[in-house]
Amino acid sequence: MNWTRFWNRLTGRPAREEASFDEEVAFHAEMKARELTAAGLNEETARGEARRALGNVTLAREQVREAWSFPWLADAWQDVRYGARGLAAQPGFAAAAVLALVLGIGVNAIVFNVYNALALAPYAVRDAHLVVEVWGERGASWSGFTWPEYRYFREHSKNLAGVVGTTNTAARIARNAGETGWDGPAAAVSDNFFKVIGTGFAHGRGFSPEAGRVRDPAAEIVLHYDTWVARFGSDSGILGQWLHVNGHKLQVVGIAAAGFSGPQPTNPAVWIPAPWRDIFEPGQTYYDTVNSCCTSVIGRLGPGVTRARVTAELTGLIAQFRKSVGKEPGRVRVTTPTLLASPKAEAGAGPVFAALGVTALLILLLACANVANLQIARAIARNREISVRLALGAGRGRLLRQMLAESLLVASIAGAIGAVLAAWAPSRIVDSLVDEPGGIAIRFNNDYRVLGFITTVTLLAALVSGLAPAWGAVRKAAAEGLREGRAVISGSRLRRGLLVVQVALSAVLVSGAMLMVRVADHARRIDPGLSPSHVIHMQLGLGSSGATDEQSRVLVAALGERIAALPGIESVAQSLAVPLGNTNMGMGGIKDPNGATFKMGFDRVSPDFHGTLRIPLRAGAGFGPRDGDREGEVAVLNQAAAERLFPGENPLGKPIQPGSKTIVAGVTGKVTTRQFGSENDPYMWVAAPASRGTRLLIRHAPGAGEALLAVLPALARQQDKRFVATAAPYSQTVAAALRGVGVAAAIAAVLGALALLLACVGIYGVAAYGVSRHTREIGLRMALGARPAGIFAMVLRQNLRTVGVGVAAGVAGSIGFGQLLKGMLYGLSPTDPVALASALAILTATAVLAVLAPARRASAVDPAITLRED
Amino acid sequence: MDRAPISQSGLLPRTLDLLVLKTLTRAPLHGYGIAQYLLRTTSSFLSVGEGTLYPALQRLVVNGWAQAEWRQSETGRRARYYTITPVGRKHLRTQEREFEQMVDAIRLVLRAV
Repeated sequence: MNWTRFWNRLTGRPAREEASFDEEVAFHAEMKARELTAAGLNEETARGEARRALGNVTLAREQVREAWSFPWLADAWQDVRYGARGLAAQPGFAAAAVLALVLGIGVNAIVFNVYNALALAPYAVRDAHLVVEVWGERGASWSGFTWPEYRYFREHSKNLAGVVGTTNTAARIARNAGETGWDGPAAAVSDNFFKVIGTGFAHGRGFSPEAGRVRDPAAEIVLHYDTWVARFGSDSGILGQWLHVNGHKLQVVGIAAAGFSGPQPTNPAVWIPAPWRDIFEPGQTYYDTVNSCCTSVIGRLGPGVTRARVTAELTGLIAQFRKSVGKEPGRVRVTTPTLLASPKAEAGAGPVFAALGVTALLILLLACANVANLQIARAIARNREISVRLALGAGRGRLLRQMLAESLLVASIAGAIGAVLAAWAPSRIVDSLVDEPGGIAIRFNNDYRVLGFITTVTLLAALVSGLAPAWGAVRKAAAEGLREGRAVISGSRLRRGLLVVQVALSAVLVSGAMLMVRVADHARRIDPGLSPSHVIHMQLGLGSSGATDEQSRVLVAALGERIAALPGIESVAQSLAVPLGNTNMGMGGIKDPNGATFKMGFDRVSPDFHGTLRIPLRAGAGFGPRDGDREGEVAVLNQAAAERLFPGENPLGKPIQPGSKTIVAGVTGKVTTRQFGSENDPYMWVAAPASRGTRLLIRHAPGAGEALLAVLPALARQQDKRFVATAAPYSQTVAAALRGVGVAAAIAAVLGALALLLACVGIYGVAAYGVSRHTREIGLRMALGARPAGIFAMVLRQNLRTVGVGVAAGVAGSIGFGQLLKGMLYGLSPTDPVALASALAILTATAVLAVLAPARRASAVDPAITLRED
Repeated sequence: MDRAPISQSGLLPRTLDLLVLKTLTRAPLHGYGIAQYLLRTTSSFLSVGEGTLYPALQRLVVNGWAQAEWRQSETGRRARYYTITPVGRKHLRTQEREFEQMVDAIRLVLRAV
């Protein structure tokens, strides 16, 4: 930095120099005049000649000033003040422009903030920039690791300064034995969890090394801060107390620091040492067998270690370990620990964010086009001022910068409001969409990425909305100069062009919105292939009860029989997954006759499952009454699975795979299984006894539902204390499955409405301006005999022609946009004609409405206007 | 050949600074005097527009190559006189050398073809 200049600037030297300059120039002019007089000119002519010889004094003065100061700084400040004055003079324009850009920038900022929180910003753990998540290839998919694999990493990795494992599970927690307690999500973690990634403790400490022992682990538990506040009233006396967790006694050794949830998107209520999971679920050996899956492995990079080095090291380690247990090696991937870092989540969320991002960008462009239109109108109004300043010698670049400063000011105000929106809205939106028992751990911070993004978008918006009108205004004014009493810039071609762009953009957005609305409607009308009414969905809560699968089988069977004996019950079925029940179970590696492998969804059900849900069988008799006693010997396939496994054959009586002991006993038609739109995915139901996670589906007589809902949980509890059951109409489960698509449609509709509003304002602006500019011409036509109706039609026609061009361009765009939404359409075509046609109808109707008022004004023009002077 | 006076835009970049500094090595002068001198010395070939002369003078002062002070002029009016500084002389020498080199280089090209 040039400090002398800076000092000069501070002490006001440029201003003094300017004064000197003026005197110097006066002297110069006088000398020149003297010279000319001596040459024989009369005094007056000489003076005029001398002044003319001086050239562009204004420009020279500007340059003198520049020589003494940071011109850009002084100019920028001046430009901003000038812009602020201009805006203050026209608050209506300022408000409209800011509002449009707030919409544009705000939508972008919100979408980016959500994306940032889910995909870019790591979880809030200690030294998050050093922490990585490790993924392993298992079969054809990416997942976590087994606990023994985790322990192998921990023992052998030299590049990781620490490595922890964590698995999500559930806990039922009570202060005293015999109390029912409460259920909450829990994380089963390695003993070093808090040492490596913890952010400290509100009270107490983390797990002792003994908590990691395979046999007889230390009985310790750490509470989430929120749990401590909500369940234990922030009582620090809880430290050292013993809690009953899933029927076992664990001692509270610590309360994690506020805000710490570990490397996961949801809040666990408590952390338990990983080996305890095997003790809670008798018969399970998650912690000690090579078949268990899947533990999230989180590592902390050693000093100076790169991710590539860790990837190479762990790839080697996993190959060694898997070889020693007779398993195939696999690739390893090391990522930033975020929600979308998992390769699976990435594939799922990618298209959603692509669609949202494109939508947000289109809305921003639309808003910019609107502001540009407003700017042009203003530039026309200011045309005389611009011409005068150019004539007085102001630099063109300077004028351009001044007009851009104004756009920048508008965009900055909008950007600031957008930033506030981005900080405020996402957590509220997500809270209203996501239903998690422990709450969401993801924080939507306006971190440096979000602020950088908003700044960039704001600058872009300023440029896009300001450059074209500013340049057009300055160029036109320069070209045409000052003319008597007449505005020289028409700007109307530019405005019409902008209008076409606006209409095209909103056509894309509106048709996208209509498509999503259609999808929601379509999904609601999808025939699920089953009958959800008069069915109760009962969750039994044996998962955290300490009951083994064997015990659960007996318990659930007995409960089912007892419920079936109640009055008004038609049938009771068991199901592990429950259609639309938010549980995905599947088996990979199924081979079709051509040798291609695929993944098939499946559920473990009791024999009367299909009857209870009224799922008709198209072939075969289905399960026999005793098929559920044995483990998976009989299967019913859906139509897609039957066609895939047995193309052109009768599958009945055949094993599902060559050599399998599971025999096909029936085939259904198209049935909704995991989610709406999944009816064409291969699916299989196997008859099997109940297990810990089994749920009941109870079909009852119409009218008996209310009473049953009230009595069923208590009945279960009465039969065995280990049941913590909830009962709800199964139709609620079905409705919940439709919530996502409903929300998507609502978001799309809101965005589409915004687009429509912006387009409407744009169309109205251009039409109204066109009429006001052609008032004289219209008056002339009327004086010559044109009828008001004819004028009305003419204005309508002229504007709608422009709109038509935009709509045509928009249709092409919306077909492309539809492709982007492909994965979310529940089988609807991306070029759904109904959606497209209704979008066009809505847009056209809006355009007509927007043009109506200006057209009426045109038809009411008084022909006498042509007689008046300007 | 038509010898119309050329303006600053016809000059090589920064040549004006060079000419003004060179002029000032003779004696301190005011702006008008400098313009007159240049016009005279070049037989009216170089007419430096005042719009470019004064910003150039400012540049010289800002960079410390010249100093400016208000003095009584020969006509009795107050005028701003510019004096070359030691730093300015040093700058002038390097500029002269560079100018010579550039002119030689240009000449070589013009003759080569």
